[in-house]
Amino acid sequence: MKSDHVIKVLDQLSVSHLSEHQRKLIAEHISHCSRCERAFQAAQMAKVLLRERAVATTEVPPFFQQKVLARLREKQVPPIADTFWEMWRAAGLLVSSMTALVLLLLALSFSSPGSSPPEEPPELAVGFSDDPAERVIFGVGQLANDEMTYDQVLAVIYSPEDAR
Amino acid sequence: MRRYSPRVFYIASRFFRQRSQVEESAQEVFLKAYTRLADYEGRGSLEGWLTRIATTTCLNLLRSAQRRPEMSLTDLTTEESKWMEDRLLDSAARHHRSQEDSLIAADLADKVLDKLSPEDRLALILIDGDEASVKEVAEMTGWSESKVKVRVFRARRRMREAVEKLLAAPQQSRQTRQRATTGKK
Repeated sequence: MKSDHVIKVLDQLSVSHLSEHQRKLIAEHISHCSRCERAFQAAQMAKVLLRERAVATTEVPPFFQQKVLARLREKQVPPIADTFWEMWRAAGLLVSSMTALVLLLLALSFSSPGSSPPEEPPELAVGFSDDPAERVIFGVGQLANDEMTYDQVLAVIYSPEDAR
Repeated sequence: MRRYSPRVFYIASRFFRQRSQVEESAQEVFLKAYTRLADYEGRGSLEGWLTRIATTTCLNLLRSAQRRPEMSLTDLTTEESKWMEDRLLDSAARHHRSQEDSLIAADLADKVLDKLSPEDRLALILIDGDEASVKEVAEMTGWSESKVKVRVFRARRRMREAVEKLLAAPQQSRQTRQRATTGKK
């Protein structure tokens, strides 16, 4: 080992786990090998650093349990947006089924041959033309100022042309 | 929860240095344990089951945390550089350890460990720092014992190389300072 570099040993074992014999051999070797000396120094320092790091343990702070329980409760209560979304998802099914039903009824009422709207009675279906004479004869509506009087209408009906 | 909190905090402290991060990850562990309580089959101890959850949760949190791409001497504070210099001058055994010294060393250790993967870092802290056995680490993490050995070997080498680089820097700065003082005289 005197001529062998000790770096490999340092990587295999922690410095604190080196036996007395290994320590002696390392000491002999590093007395004439500066590269291994640096490696050994670094390994020793790494050991010290790791020990100090391991000692540094954080204590449980006060009210830790309460904080965890509060977070648990937060997790269990869904946010308002989620609640609304859940409600919408539940009601959405109902709304969509109702819409589908309405659409179906509309489609049925328009497409079925026997369901066309009832025709108006003939007397109501007879419309009045815009001719003021007709309106006067059938007594519908009030005459406007510029419309014909009864006499005028008679004159038109029994016009001299008819007499011939 | 009160019973297992110290154990969870101990595990979270292996991963994180800042108190807030440790507490945050411990909370996360308990929340996860609560949601997975149905998975606990009662075969092993509850503490062992919780330890496994804590380890995996903290590993995931550390993985997702932004890691430093490269560490250089400029990342070290004056206190940390001085600590390293003092260590070089004194032997580890003779060195007076104040509480402040320990804090500086722990911070420095964290900086060096940041260069390692979360898995390597955990294996190294537990085995070389806490003196845990390979078997214990395997139980904690769920890895095979050979995997633990490989990880700790690799982590040890990387840590040593990183410290070697840092050690070279204070030596250089000390030489520069000495040259400057002799020049003045």
